[in-house]
Amino acid sequence: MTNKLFTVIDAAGMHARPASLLTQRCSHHSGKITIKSGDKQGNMKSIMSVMAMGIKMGQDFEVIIEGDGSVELMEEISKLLKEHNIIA
Amino acid sequence: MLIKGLGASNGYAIGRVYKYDEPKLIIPQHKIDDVDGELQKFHTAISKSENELLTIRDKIIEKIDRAHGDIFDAHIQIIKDPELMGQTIDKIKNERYNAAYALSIVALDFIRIFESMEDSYMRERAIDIKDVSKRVIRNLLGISANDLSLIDESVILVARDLTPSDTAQLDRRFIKAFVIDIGGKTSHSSIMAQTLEIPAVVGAKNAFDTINNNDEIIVDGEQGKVILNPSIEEKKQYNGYIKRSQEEKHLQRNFIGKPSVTVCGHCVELAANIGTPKDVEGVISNDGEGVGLYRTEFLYMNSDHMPTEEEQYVAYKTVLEKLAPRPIVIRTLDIGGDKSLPYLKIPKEDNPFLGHRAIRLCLAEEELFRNQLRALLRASIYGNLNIMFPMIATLEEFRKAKAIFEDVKKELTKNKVAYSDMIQLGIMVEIPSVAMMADKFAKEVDFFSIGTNDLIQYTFAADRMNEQVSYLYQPYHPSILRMIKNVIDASHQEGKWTGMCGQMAGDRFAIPLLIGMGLDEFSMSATSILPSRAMISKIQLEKAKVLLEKALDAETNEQVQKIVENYLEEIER
Repeated sequence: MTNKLFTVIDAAGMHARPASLLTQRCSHHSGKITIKSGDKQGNMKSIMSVMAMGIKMGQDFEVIIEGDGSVELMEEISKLLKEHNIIA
Repeated sequence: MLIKGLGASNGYAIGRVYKYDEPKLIIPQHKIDDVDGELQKFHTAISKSENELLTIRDKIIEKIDRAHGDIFDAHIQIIKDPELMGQTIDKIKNERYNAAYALSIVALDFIRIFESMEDSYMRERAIDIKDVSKRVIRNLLGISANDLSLIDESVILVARDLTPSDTAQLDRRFIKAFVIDIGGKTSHSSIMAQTLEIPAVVGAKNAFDTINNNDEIIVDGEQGKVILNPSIEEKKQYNGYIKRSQEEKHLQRNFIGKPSVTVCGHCVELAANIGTPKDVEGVISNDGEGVGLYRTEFLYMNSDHMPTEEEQYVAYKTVLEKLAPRPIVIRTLDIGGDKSLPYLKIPKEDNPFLGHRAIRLCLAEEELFRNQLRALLRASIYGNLNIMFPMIATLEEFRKAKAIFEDVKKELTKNKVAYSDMIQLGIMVEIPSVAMMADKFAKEVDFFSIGTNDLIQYTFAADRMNEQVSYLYQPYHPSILRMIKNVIDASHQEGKWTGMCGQMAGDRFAIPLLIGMGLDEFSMSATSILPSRAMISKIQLEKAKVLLEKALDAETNEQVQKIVENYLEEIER
């Protein structure tokens, strides 16, 4: 299991485009992937679940990846979020 | 009986009504015994729905464009969403609900979450979820899909609303026109109607409840009127209009390949406004003499990353090459305020139309601006390129932008990259300060292009998105006409030229006035070019000048409209 904490810096928060790319990438992973923010928890393989969390600018969120290849996937996720200016 | 709405797509039709209502869904709720059987049914309904969506998406891409097709890609993503599916399956397995009910309560949870969000984009996603879950439930219950594509006789469609998937199924051979209760001139259904060239009236408030199946109605897409049970007189009148507009269309084809010239030999240029390289085909088939406005922001807005210099270069080169030797005016990035880019952080503003947008943003984000200029310069050798800057308010802004342009040129020369040295550099005139200072600007720019939509909204201090103040959109108001004239005169004084790329340039009421002012280039939607050329061929410059004098001296927008109306009747005779 790998987990990591991020902070959203984009004014639009976690919006549709990165959420869509994230969930598409995560859906190939065999293990469970959870996203947590505040008291909410979502499924990183579901765009509706990620968007429904409504994560705004300045909010922290934690990603928890279970199963094989979790370290590599976490790196990819960080890169993707950075590329889209969601995190610093 | 007369029903008023908004004319969303030009043209007239007379015919019988076909009322189209969404099938009502009554979702049964019961407990099931055969869990596996119910799950099987659910999966079948999901794949059936997915196939329907794929078909609709392909139809839309074929009939309209890629961007409209993307709406359905989003729907397909929702239908396959592991949470929506997973939670529904859980409810079937654990609580033994029938699939239709299980899905309806899971979907409702999501709909409520999205509906309560502050962000309007997120709130719209609630509509998508509703659409998609209804489709699956309909397939679960065996209720047949809307049968718009089954219509095989000439009808006029009357509905409360048409979704994008409804509009995609409209067959032009049978649907003579449509009338809907809601919507505005820029809503999806209106844009689709224009693309499909189906006359349409939208926002016709109680049309659906007032009109019955098989009623005879007249749809007037020009004036936004619907006449229920028309009299013999009215039918005669509209049959005349229909015949005349068919004849006009036919006659207009005769203007292909001809110059745009008045009775007395005064020549102007009729150009097209385009947004993507794909629009080039329309420019050629409608015989556009050039492009007066290529909006580069679509290149940025349809992308998920900042378009690279190379991507931009390819787009600009395609347009220049395909349309050479026609003159092409490319506008540098006009973004900011209400048009945001997901990959470029622009803080929210209280007054986006008065905010940090267009050239203001480009001068602040210089690297972005330089990138675009480099791509433009590299592409310039493939055709006849002119460049203009949007939202210029002061001379200093223009000088700064020009200095950057010259600097990029120097850099290219140093790197031995070829570019054309014939590029003209102009500005959009859309802020009153520029219209008033046109004489000073005319000494430094190569040309002006008047953007009337913004010029009108800034002159009347009326947000064009706000319906409460839409009466202040007064294009023929003498204040606007005087400003336009001031700009054109100033450019001619310095031997420069003026174009217009706002809605007014293709407006039959404005054209005689603009001819009278000596406007050099008219840039409009490609389909307006031939009708405008036909109209200009009936105008006499001296008479247009007299008309203009009267209009400039009028007191109100309405007075000018009357004056022009009389003139139009005269030349049509």
